[in-house]
Parts: sequence; structure tokens; C-alpha cells
Amino acid sequence: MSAGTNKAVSRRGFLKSMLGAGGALVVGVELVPGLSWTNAAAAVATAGGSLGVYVTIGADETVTLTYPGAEMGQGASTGLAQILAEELMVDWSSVRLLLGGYDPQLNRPTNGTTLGTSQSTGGSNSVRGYHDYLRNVGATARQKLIWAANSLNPSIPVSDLKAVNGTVVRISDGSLVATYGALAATAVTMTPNDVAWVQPPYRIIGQSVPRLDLPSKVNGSAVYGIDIRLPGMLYASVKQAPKVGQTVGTIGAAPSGVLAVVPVPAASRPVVSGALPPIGGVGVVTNSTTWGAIQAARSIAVTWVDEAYTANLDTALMKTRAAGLMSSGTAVTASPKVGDADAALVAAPANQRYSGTYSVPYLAHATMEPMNATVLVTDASCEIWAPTQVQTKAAEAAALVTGLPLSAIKVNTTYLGGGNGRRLQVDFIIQAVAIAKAMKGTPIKTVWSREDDFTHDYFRPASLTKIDAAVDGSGAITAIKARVVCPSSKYQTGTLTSGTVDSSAVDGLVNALYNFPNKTVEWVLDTIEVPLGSWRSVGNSQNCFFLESLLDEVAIGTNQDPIALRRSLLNSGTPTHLRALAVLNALVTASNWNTAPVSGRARGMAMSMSFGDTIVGEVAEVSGSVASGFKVHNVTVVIDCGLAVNPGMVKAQIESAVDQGLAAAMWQGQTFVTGTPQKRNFDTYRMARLREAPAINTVIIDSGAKLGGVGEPGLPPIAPAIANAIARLTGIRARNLPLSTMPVPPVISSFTPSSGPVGTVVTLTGTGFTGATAVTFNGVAATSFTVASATQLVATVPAGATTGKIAVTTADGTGTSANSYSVTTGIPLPFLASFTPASGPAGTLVTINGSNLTGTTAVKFNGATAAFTVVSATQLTATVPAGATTGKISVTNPGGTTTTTASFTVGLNPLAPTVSGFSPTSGAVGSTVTITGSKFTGTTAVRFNGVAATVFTVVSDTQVMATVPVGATSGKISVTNASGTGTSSSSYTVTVPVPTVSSFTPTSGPIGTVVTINGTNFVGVTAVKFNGKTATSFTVVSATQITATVPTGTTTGKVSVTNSGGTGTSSASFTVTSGSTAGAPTISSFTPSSGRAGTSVTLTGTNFTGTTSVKFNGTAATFTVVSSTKITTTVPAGAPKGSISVTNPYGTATSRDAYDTGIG
Amino acid sequence: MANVNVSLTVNGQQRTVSADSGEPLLWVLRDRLGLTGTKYGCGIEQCRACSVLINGQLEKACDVDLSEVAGRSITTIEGLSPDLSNKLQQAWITEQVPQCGYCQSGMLMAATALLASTPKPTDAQIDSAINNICACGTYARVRLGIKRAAGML
Repeated sequence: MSAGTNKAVSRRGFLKSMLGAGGALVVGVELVPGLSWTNAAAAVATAGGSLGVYVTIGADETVTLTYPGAEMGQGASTGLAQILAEELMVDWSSVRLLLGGYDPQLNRPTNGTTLGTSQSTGGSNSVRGYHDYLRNVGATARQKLIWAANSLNPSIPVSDLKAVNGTVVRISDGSLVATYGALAATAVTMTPNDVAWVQPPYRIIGQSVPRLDLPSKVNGSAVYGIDIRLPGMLYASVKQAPKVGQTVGTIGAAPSGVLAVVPVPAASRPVVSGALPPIGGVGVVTNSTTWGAIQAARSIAVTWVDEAYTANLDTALMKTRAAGLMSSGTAVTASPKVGDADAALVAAPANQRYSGTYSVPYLAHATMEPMNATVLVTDASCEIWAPTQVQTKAAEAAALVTGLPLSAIKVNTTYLGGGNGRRLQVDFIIQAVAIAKAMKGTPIKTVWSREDDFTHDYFRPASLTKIDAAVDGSGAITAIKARVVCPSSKYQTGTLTSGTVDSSAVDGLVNALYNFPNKTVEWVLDTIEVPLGSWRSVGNSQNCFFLESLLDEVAIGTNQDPIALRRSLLNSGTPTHLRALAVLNALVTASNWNTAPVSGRARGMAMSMSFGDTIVGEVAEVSGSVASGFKVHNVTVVIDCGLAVNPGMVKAQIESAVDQGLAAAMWQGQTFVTGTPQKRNFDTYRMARLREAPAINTVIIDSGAKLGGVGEPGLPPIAPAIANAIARLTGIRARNLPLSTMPVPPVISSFTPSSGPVGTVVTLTGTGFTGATAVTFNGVAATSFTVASATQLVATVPAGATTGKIAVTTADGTGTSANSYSVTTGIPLPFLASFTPASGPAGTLVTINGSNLTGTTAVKFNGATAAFTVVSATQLTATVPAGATTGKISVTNPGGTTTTTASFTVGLNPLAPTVSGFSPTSGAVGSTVTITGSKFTGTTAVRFNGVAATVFTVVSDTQVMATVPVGATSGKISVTNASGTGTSSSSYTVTVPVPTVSSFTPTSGPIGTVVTINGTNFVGVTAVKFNGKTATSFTVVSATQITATVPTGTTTGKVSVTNSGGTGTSSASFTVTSGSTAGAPTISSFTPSSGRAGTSVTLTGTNFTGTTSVKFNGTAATFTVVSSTKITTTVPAGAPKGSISVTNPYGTATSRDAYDTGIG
Repeated sequence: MANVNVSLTVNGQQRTVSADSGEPLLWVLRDRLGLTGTKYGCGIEQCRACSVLINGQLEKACDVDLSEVAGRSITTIEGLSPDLSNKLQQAWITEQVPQCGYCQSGMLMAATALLASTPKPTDAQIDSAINNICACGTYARVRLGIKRAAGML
């Protein structure tokens, strides 16, 4: 493995010089991986001299300034260096930067000149917080150098010495006395008593000098926490709980390649001084890479145990809970309370009261660099390299985890890939120290996955806030009452005194820069356990949105310019208010406030004062719609932060705050389902992209006021500025963030007709019509309208309507047409809603439904005039005329003609069946065929090539089963219902089974003998043969019997029967005998076929001449031979049903059919 | 997945890496080759902080496996220029683009690819080419930096 060996620790590499743009020498000095910050300072001091922790002078005349805080992009490291360089009287090109670490001497001053108790970076308090202290440090160092020059050159009095560009020179003649490098060692011992700050005009303060940290940030050499590489370092990650508020239950076996599995304190838990959170994660150390560590952490099996509150962390439940607290929770009133807002609100008439309930969601910090820390623990020490905003807290936490004294803890600050308040927490450092403690002697870099970074954040609290305002008759605000419902990190860490207010819950409301005659701000604590932390601008990030939105609602409601409204609230004449007035005036100019924006855009404004009385006003110019989304085109910002130490960086911070605040306002918000954060990476937690970033024009007012904060104050006004612009653009007030959750109001994209008198039925096309509560024509509500679908609505022009736009209102808002509807006079057009049936042949009676049909004068089918009957105002019937063709139906009345949108189809009846297929495609009579198609319900007939099936079953509307009927032949299958017939496109093949011949009788006889053949499948018989000789005469008696006459020329042989399926042949032979059958009778038919005794029956046949007897089933009957082919006979008494026989001397003939005597 | 030996060219130098064939190039660069300028931001091709050039094409190193880069030529932020002489680096300094700087390696690689294909990009071309996430809000200056490097300012 190559990790840890590529960048060897090298003090020679500590100073990195790089040739920058334009050939100027741009120099950056950073912490070198593996080098403790104190050792780095010592390396410089060895060559030159140290003038305390902040200032180190090198032998090469460079001046290295130790930055005490966190450089997370805000540029404070450069800002503080400017202050020191100003006092030190050195050229900016000789300034170097060293990122410091934990050292009480680097604590942030509390009151300008006295060191506080902690090192932390937050609250936009770096430059303003360290300014006075570093001025003293710099001025003292400068005087020490001057005094050193005097000490080394006693003949030159201090009064004749001054510092110029890193040297000490004589005032009298300007001659060089010594460079700082030559004086540094001596200067350390000097104790000047004439320390005084440099007076303006300044050389470096107030200049947009290039940032010291940028050269390394454009060539990949800047070292962030995640970039630390130490000799022998191993990589680790942490298996974190999937839900917020879970502890570790059981830990499964370590995957291969894992060197250690270390239970660690839970992330995203309140860290209370002196106590560690419960075990809530599993550190996994590998000999792989960070990727291998993250993979290993994902693969290890861990069971998790919910806390009692885990399931409560559910966005839907939390919204309900907050609403309940809003209506009935116990509130604490924040101080100061001014006058009696409740009384003023009660006293105000309803039309002089304004009220809005607003909400913002939980926000993730989403720093680009995921949480990480690198730690080396030994028995006696613990050293940390971390991107942290809180070096002191980090050191204290490490002491707690390791049990080592604070003096044994070193913290080195790396660059931060964004801070945004997330790295005010030390949960990730606690975990990294715990893991390293289990791997003593080996440096361990612990890196979280992005998913865990989102899951285990300390979120910006959600807040539900209601603001009520009262105005007087002139529109001046007389009272404001804000009721805030939100959770509290102070409560969660046990530092909230009961009955007091968490200032971050009401920051920006209680201390707003406006002068309200009556003001109450009250807070209801929500004890929900979503982990909370500070997010850029903290309480101001939501409270500015609430207050500035409400003020805009008042401005719109009272028809006041929003900037004029705010001016009127600043009239007390204090310095702060005068500065705010100046900001507003500059904002009007810079934003072209008094010139309307281009068509399709609107402007909104907001302002706030925060973080040391920095005042910011912003104007956002917005286009778009709720349905299509909004685009912020440009933002104008005016900031008064007292003194801009580096105006270029102030502008950069404004750009940063606007972009970040814009993304939060437009799209961001973490949601939870039973404890699980739902957005775990940038695919679902939407960040702004370059194309979405507005053009930002920043104006800085140098008011001369004391230094205010810069990093955060630009953020609060952007959300309300955008929301206020949207209100002006759309008429819709966005009270809930993010704006992407705004309900989409209906959209009317078109309507028809575009004009007509009262009573005309107008069809609107658009979106979002479902649940429409009102439709208006130029403001007059339609008394009749019907929502046909989400995209279509019909409304009747109401009495009293005038020409103007049409509007549709739903619970989600109101959509107004772009064009006007013209209200005319006269008779309203017919309105055609529907007709039925949709098709049919000429003569079909069609029912047309609609409105305004009473005065109908003509109905036409595609231009062909039809006979019609008006049934009512909403219905008529018409008959499809002969010669009509498929097309639209038109209905005419004296007001005009309306044509249907749909066509009537002449001919095809859509209700008739269709046959799309059948299976199998062939079979014999009696086979079952499954037919598929449509509209089979109500089938009345199934035909096989025209032969109706006697058996069929409708299985479903799309399936019928039918049995191939006797007599069916191959051909198409048709299905018929009451509306028509559908026929298959292909043919069904009726197969014919091969006949079989089982017996015949008689088995012998001469030519002319009539033989009865028995067998099967005697269907469709085409030939009967005797030993191959085709019988010229045969009769198919049934499927199992044929009679055939032995033809002339027949010889003895087998009998065969042929149909289209094949030929069946007897096994026995028919023996042809000599002689003749001439003379023996035959009976071919008789009539009638039934009748009781006494009935006269006529027999037809041959050889009847010489008949000796006629019998009915053996009973002799009387008879008369009419001719050789005809006998008449009378049915004898007592004869049962049966064959009739005729006998002559040559033989007997028996009828093949039975005569029915009614007996038997 | 199996351990493999892969030879590739990184910033002009021939390197051979022995690692899991599925290990993303991002981590090979950072943790095995010590080139930490290429950053991890999301691991799912969203933030583009890990953008590098592979045979001149802009790619997200979090989604390129080691096995896919055998014989390929990789350019990382460290390969733009060792001395800030690259015109984009100079423009970035002139316009004071970075803030926290974490995303800027990827930004510069995306800008490098853009100017290679489109020497004078329009605003619309910049809009569509630069999809990197910057949480600090340096976007307006990134646009200026690209135009400056393109000689358009």
C-alpha cells in the first residue's frame, strides 16, 4: 500500500511559493500534511523569530501570520492577515498564512481586546471579533521591531524610527536601519510603551487584496481534513444508524480485510459538556482505502435499537404536532415586549388586520466535504487534524474520550470544505478519536459517506410561525405579534433555563430593526428530538422570511410601496435607522426599483439587520410560475457592515449567501419517515447549479459604523425577497418553504368559444381543475359549471358578466386566462356536450346532449341535413340522413352554429362484435373453438361459414367458445350481437374424419343388389366403391349407415367409402354372384310416413309388378299395385311402428325408414 | 472482485496500481497515488467534485473503476500546471473564484474540458457544460473565470 508514503513530512516543503497571475508572486503557506501547526511555526521561527503565537518573521523577510479560526471559504484568514499586515507595516506580498490549531492564546476575544474562553468560528464574528485584538498584536509587534532597531543602534532614538514595508528606517533621512528579519530575535525581548494603532488612510485594510488561500485551491494542493496523509496511516469509516436516535444493538462479524471494529458514540446527538453520547455507531478500520473502509462499514451487520422518541421523528406527525402547539401550546414571551400588541390587535377592525402562518423545514448543512477527522492517539497524547469550527470543543471532547489531560491534546485545523455551522459540532471528531484510541500508535483517518453526512446532521430547526399585524387608517403598522413554534438545541443540550426563550428561535423578530408601537414575540417550545444545530444565519434564516413576508402582505393589502413601508418603520432617527434608510435609498437606485422590470418578471425586496448590526437590503427579480418553476434572474444587494476590510471578499460572501439562501428557499428541506431522513445525497437534496445562479450586484456602504458581520447577514433577506417577488408576479403568497412545495393553482390554457352572450356554455382547457370552487367571468361568478376532468371544465356565462378574463379557483389557488372572453348580446350558441351512439348507418337515431338546444333550427351530420326533435333545452334527437358521411355533427340556432369536437361514424357500429382470432384454427364437426375479440357480451349467434353453431358459451366480453355444428364447412367465423356482426379475417378449417366400414349386408349378391353399409364418419361421402367400382347410386342414411347399389361391372372385392377426409375400406369382401336382381322389388320411399291403422300409404320403388304381400313391421296389409313403381296400401290394425316390406316372387324389399303407426 | 495490477498514466507519469478491480479511480488517485486534489463529494456522480480528464474526456472519477483505466491517460487538477501558469488557474485567481475551494478542482477540470471543445463559450454553453455543485455560491465568478480564460473579458 502506498498510502502515507507519497507525501513525506518535509519542513523544507513547508513554504510553497507559486507564481500567480500577471507574474506577481503569490504566496501561500499552509499546514503541511503531517506537520503540527506549532512545529510549522517553529520552523519559521528557527529561521527568523517569533513575536508571539500570531506573528512569525522569517529570515527571508516573510511574515507568517497564524490564523486562529476556521477558514471555510469565508476568507477570514485573509481578512485577519490584512489587519495584522496593516499594523505591522509590511507589504502584502511578504505575508504568509499559517492555519493554527488549538491554543488558548488563539481564543476569540470577548470584548475586542480580552481573550475569551474558547476558540470557535461562527456568528460572522471572525474579522469583527479579532479586529481590535489583532490591531493591538500587530501594533505591539511593530513597536517591538522599532525598539529592537533602537536597541541595536542606540544612537538612533525611537522617535526617529518608523516601520516601512517590513523594514525600520530613519524618519529624518529615510535611510534603512534594518530589516524585520534582522530585528526579529531582538524584538522578542522588547517591551515598548508607545503602542498605537496605525491611523487611516490604510494601506491594506479596505483593499480587495487577493486571498492568501486561493493559489493552493486552484492547483489541488490545499489540504482539507479529508486530504490528510500521515506515515503509516490507516483508513476508517463508521457504520452509522439508519435512523436518527438509535443505539447499537448487536454487531456482526467483521468482513475480511477489516483490522478493527470499534463501537463509537452516536453521531448527531447533543454533546453535553462532560458526557459522551451512547454507543450509536461502529467504527471500521481497514488496510484498504477510504473507499474500502466505507464499503466495509456498509457490509458489516449491525442491529439497531430505537430510542423512545425515534418514531416521533416523522415529518407528517411533526407537522400535526406543531399545529397543535400553535393553537394551544404554552408560550414564553421574549424580551423586549413593546406596548400591548394583543390589545391593539383586538381593537383593530377586521379590515385593518393582517395575519399569516408561515413555515420552514429542517435544513441540512450539506457541506461539500463530508465529515472526517484524522487522529493519532498514544498512551500520552492525542493529536487531531480536522476541519473544525471549534478547536477548543474538539480538544475537550478528545480529552473526554481518551482520558488524557487537555494539555496532552493537539488540534490542527485544516481547511474546511464548507462549514455552514455543521462543524461547530464535534460528533465526528469524538468518533474518530474513539477509533484511533483503539488503534494506539497508528494514525487513523475516519471519513463518513455522503449518505451518513446527510442522515446524521444537526439540522436547522423547522419553525411554524404566525404573525398578526394591525394597521391604522393610513396603513401604518400599529402592532405586530409573532407566535413561534420550534424546537431548541439549547433544550436538547440541557442548557435552556425553563421559562426562558432560546434566542435563536426568535432572532430577527424580537430584535428586528423596525420600530413597532406595539410588539410581542412569543415562543412555544417543541420538545421534538430532531438533532439541531446552527445553520448559516441561524434564527435569522427563518425569522426574516416570516417578518419580511408579512410586511409585504401589509404593503400589498394597504397599497403601499414595500420600500416606503419600511422607511416609515425606521423613523426614530437613531444611527441604526439612519443607516437602514441609506441602505434602502441605495437599494432603490441600484435595483432600478422605480423602473418596472421587463415583461414577465417582478421584483420583491426584503431587509434585515443581524450579526453586529450589519444591515442588508436585497431585491430579487423573478420570472416563472408555480407550475413551471421560478427563475431568479438577478439580485441587488446593499450591505452596510460598518467597514469592509476586504470589499472583494464582502461581495463574495454576499454572492455566497444569496446562492445558498436561494437554494434553500427554492428547493431544500430534510424530511423524515419514522426516524429516517429521506434525503441522503445530492440526487434528492437539491443544490443550486450554475445555470440557476442569479446575477448578483452588490453595493457596499462604508458607513463608518463599528465592524459588523459579513458571512451570514446576506442570507436572511433572499428568501423573502424571492417570495415577495412571486407574490407580485403571480398574486400567490408563498408562506411555506421550500417554494418548490407550493401548491400548483389551476392553469387556463384556452377556452372556446371566445365570445358569446350570457348563457353561453364555455369549455375551458388547462390543468388543475379538479375540485374547482369558483369560475368567474371578469369577476362575476358563474352559477353553473362542471369539472369534466382535471384538464377540462365547462361553465355558463352568468348574468351580469362583462367582457374580461376567465378565472378558475381551487384550494391550490386561482388561475386566470391570458385572453379575455367577450360577452356579446343575442342568443347563446348551442352547447354540445355529447351524443350517442357514436356510429351507425343512415336511419340511426342519435341523441345529442348539451345546453341551449331549445331554439335549434338545423342539425347536420357532416353537412347533411337531418330530421331532428328537440326533447328539451339540454337534449335533442336526430336521425342520420341517407347519404350522410362520417364527420362532425353541427347544431344551429339563431345565435349561430356549434359543431361537435368528435365525429359521428356512419356505418360501423362500435358496439358490434369484432373477431380478432380463434383457436384452434381447424377441427372436425363437434370440436370446440375458442374465439377472441370484443363486445361478445350479448352474443346471439356464432356461425361457421354461415352455419350457426347450436352450442356456444360467452366466457367474457372478449371470449366465446363454440362447437362446430353439423354441416359446417371451412370458412370464416362470425359472432353476432344486437348491434351487428363481426367476422374473422381468416378461415376456420372444418376437418372431415376418415370413414370406417365395419360391416355390410347382404354380403353377396348380383349386380344391382342394394347393400346396406355400416360404419362411422359417413359425413360428406363422395363415393362408395365395390372392389374399386364406383357405385352410381348410394344414399347416406346416417353418419353410420349408407345404402348403395352394386354397380354394373363389379367384381368380388372390398367395399370402400370415401369423403374429403379419406377412404374407409371393409375388411371383408362383397361377393358378386351371377344372375340378376331384376324382378326383386325395391322401396325407395313412402308417404305419408306416419298414420294410424286405416291410413292410406303410397309406396314408391321398383319391380312392384307381381307383388305378393305388403307388410307393416311384419303385419300384412291390403294393397293395390298401381304400377311397377307405385303401390297404395292401407295400414293394418295392430301393426307396430317399423319398416314396410314388399315381397314378390324374386324377393323382398324392406324400407330403410320406419313407418310410425302410433303403436310401439 | 479481484485484485489486479493496472498500469495507467497520471499527469504524464506512468503508474502501476495494485488494488481491487472495482475500486473507483477517485480513491485510487487520492489514497493510493496521493493526488488529493480530486475530491469526494457524493460518490453518485452528482456533485462532480471528482471530475478528471481520461484521454482528454471529462469523467467523474467516482464512477470509473480501476479496471476501466488500464492504459489510459488521466489528467487531474495537479496536472493542470505545477506553477499556476494554466490560463484557467490564472483567471481563477484574477476573479478570486474559490471560497471554501472544495469543489474547485472539479470546476477547473470541467472548465478545461469546455474550453478544449469550445474556445469561446456562450453563457448558454457555460450553463450546460458546468453542472458541478458549489455550495459556497461561486457560480457567477466561475462564469467570469471561464470567460477570462477564454479571452472574452
